[in-house]
This record gives sequence, structure tokens and C-alpha cells, in this order.
Amino acid sequence: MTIQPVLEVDAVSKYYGSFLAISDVHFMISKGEVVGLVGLNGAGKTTIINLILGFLRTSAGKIRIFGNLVVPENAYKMHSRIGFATGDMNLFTNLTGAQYFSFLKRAYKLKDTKKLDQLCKQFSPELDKKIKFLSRGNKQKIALISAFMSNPELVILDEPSSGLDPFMQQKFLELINAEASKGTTILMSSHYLKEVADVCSRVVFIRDGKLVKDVSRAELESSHGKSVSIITKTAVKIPINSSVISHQKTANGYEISFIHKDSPVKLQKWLVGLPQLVDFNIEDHDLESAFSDLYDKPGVKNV
Amino acid sequence: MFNLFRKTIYDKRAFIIGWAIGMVFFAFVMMIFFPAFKDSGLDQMLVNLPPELKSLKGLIGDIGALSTPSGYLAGQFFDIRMPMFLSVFSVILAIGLSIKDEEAGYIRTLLALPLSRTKLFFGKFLAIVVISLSAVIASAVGLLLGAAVVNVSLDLVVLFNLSLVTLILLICMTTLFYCVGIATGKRTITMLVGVLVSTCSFLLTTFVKSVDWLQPYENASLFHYFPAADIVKNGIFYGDILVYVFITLISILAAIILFRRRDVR
Repeated sequence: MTIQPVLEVDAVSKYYGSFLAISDVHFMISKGEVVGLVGLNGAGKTTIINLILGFLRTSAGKIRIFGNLVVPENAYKMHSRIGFATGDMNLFTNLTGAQYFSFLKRAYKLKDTKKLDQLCKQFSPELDKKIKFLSRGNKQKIALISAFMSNPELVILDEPSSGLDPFMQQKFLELINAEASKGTTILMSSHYLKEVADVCSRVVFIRDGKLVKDVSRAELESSHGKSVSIITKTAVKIPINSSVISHQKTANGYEISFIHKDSPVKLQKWLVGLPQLVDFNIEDHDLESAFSDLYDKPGVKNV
Repeated sequence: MFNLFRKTIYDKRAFIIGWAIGMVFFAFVMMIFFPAFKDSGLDQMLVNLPPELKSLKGLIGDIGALSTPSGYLAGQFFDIRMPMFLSVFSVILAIGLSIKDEEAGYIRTLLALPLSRTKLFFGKFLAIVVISLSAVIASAVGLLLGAAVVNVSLDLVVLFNLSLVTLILLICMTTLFYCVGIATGKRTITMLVGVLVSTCSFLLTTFVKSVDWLQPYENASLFHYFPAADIVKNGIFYGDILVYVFITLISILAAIILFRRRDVR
């Protein structure tokens, strides 16, 4: 018996007029997974989330949530099982926090408010002030509580922790971990790679509207090592347990960049043994570096 | 749907109160001017105006029966000034409920909830009905207060009929502009339709009796179906009401079909 994914984005493209915002994106999320959607501003993360929530209609491809096809006309049928928050959520500013939650309780037909009470205790939002008078961080607390208050099976978060102070950011990460351990499925877009690496079991990298990498946390962790760049007069083979980032012939010789995941001693020996080494550079390669590899070097697809 | 309706009414409370106060004041002032009109012989002077001027009904009102309270109300209040006020009211309200909410991201926030686009549409439409009703009731209250102050007895059936048709016209106009806003999500288009429909209706009804070539287009004016003086004399003509109901229903149908399918950004 195959387990049905909670969310399936199947070869989805989206045009805004003649501009292709999302191109042939495909990924699935299974129950209980916490998946990070990572990319630069304008990469297409928010468009993907808007398509998933049925705010936008796909130009090509299909999106399924809980096995149901999502189109703008019927997306609301899935929303009782979905929580949603963004970093700059457009909360109803004329309402107080308490009024906003009352509105949501009626919208979700919530009878049991235990979860809401618990979240309010955890985040201590200002409930009596009108939302328009709240600081960004306090608005963000209300948005986050609203995403989780209905005990959703799937939570979609778009840059969720922007605006939170480090203390609240930590509380937010604890909440994500607690929800994930209960089996809640979470899709979270973020610029903060550390945040993603801390809580996500998988990371989907988006660049220029395309999915460029879909890696598990284990793969991410194993990609840590040394980022090595060398220039040699002659072509050389890179050491074993290394993966090439780029390899090109220039006027100075051969410029090669690779990630070395073996011991530094082996790398040192390999470098000493190079016959015509012109120059070299070695740096730690972490998640941030992996991200840079994807976004700073046009045309380079694999890390 | 009722949850959203309640919230919309709460959000629009300043608008409702502001317009209600304004309408009470406006109607009150108009009513207390009635004795001056009646006693100054102004009505006789207006009756003696050349036919070309009299035909500019939209500018000077229907001057056929200024000496009676009902005739004065029909000619000077419901026939000229109310449509002008209502046009402004309907454009502001329609844009506030559609475009402004979408630009503020509130429509997106609502659509993230288990709320269908159709229910979202009707939650706000219901608010249009209630807000329009409050404005019309306020104008009736203002007229009654004014009548009490100047000791004039108003024909309540006439007042009810005029207020009812005003309400239906107001709902029709506001719904039309709201539907354009919801269906397109575009401020410029909504503004353009609102201003064009209001202005063209006003100009058509005002000048149609004087400008021959406008006559074939007379029926295109929304105000054409609100002949206040005829309502005073003969009661409501239900054919006119049906035109407003038809425009309202067609607008709703088209808006729902388009809104359910379009992108909300």
C-alpha cells in the first residue's frame, strides 16, 4: 500500500502575463515531514505557496493536498486542515488580537480553545490592543498562533520568523519541533538557512522559479566539509570523496572548485602532491556555502 | 459568511455612522427649507420658467409640485441630490469592500481560511445591503425630524415608497461597482466604471429632455428608473424595480464566476 503524500506539487508552472514565474516545479511532502523552501527574494517561493493555497491558478501542472486537486474554486475545502502564516501577514488591523482570534475561531468552527490558550501562554501576544498599534514582532506572534490554533494537519509558513526577536525565534523553533514530533506536516519558506537546517527534515532550493535541489537533512549535513579552489597548469583529478562545483580552463590554467568531505590530512597530502599548483584557497563548507554555490555561480546546478 | 458579514459591519462602523449622521443632517436641512420654498413664491417662479430650463430636471429638480411636501421631496431631494450623494456613497463603499481589501491583503488572509470565494462575496454583499439600508433609514429619519421641526405633515406611504426605491437603486449601484472590483481586482477599472456609470447616468437624466440626440440612450441611465415625481403620484412602478433587480443579479452572477476563477495576489 502506498502512502498518499500530504502535499504534491506536480510539474507546476505559473505565468504572470508572459513572465514565467514558476517553471516545472515538482516535489512531494509526506505526513510528518518538515520541509524548507529556500531561495532568494523573487525566486518564486511565495508564488509556490500562493499556488498551494489556491490563491493563484497554475498555468500548467497540478497541486494535490490530502489527495485533492487544488484549484481556486475548491481550495477552501482543504483549508480547515491547513494553517497558514506569513512574515508580513495582512492581519485585520481594525481588530484587537482577541477579536481576531474570535473571528478565526468562528471561521474554523473551533469549540476547543485549549490549543489557542496554550499558544497564547507560550508566545504572550498583546491581545487587547488593536493590531494596527502592535509592533511587527507582536503582529508576527498573532500570525503564528493563528496558523497553529486549529490543530492543522498541514502548516504552511512563508518567512515565518522575520520580525521575531531571538528569544521568540527560539520559541518558534521549539513550536515547530513540537508540532513535527506530533506528526504535523510543515512547509516553511525562509531566508534563514540556520533556521531551516535546525528544524527541517528536507530542503527544497528554488532559483529563478525552478527547483534546483531537493535534499534531505542528512544529505545537507553530509555536504559539510572543505570548499577548495585551486589553479593548476595542468589538468588534475580531484581527490576521492569530493564533488566538483566548477571546472574551467582559463588563461592561468585550470581553475577547479570542489567540496572535500574526507579528512583534512588527506587533502593536505593531495595538495602537496600536485605537480604544477599555481594557487589555492580552502574554506569551511557549510549550509550557507551550499546556498551560495547555488545562487552565486550562474549555470552551476549541483553541489 | 455571517462571520465575515459581522466583521465587515464592524470594520465599516465609522463609514456607517459618518454617512448616517451626514444623511440625517442633509435630509433634515432639506426638509426645513420646505416652508421657505412654499411661502416665498419660488415655486410659482419656477413654474413660470421657460420650458427649456424646466426640462433640465436633473439640475433644478422636478418643479411640478413644489408646494406640497411630497412633491418638494420628490423634486428637490430624491430627484437630484440623492442620486448624486448615492453615487459617491456607492463608489466609496464598493471600492472599500473590494479593491481596498484586496490591496491591503485582507482578501488573501480570508481565502486562507475555510471560506469559499462565493461565501466571501456574499458576506460582503450582505454588508452592502445593510449599510445601504442604514443610509436610507438615516435620510428618512432626517426628513421626519425636519418635518416635525417645521410642523409639516409628510405622507408616510410616499416617504416609504421613495425610500424603498432609493434603497434598491443604492444596492444596485453599489453591487454593480463592488462586482467590478471583486471580479477584476483592479482599482482603475472599478473607479472608471463607477465614475462613468454615475456621471453618464446623471448627465443623461439631466439633459435628455433638452438634447434630442440623447433621447435614444435615456434608458441607459440608472437614474431613469427612479422617477421620484411619478412615484409620488402613482406609487412604485414595479417594472423599474425589476430593471434594478436584473442589473444586480447579472452583476452578482458575472462577479462570482470571475472571482472564483481569478488569481488573488
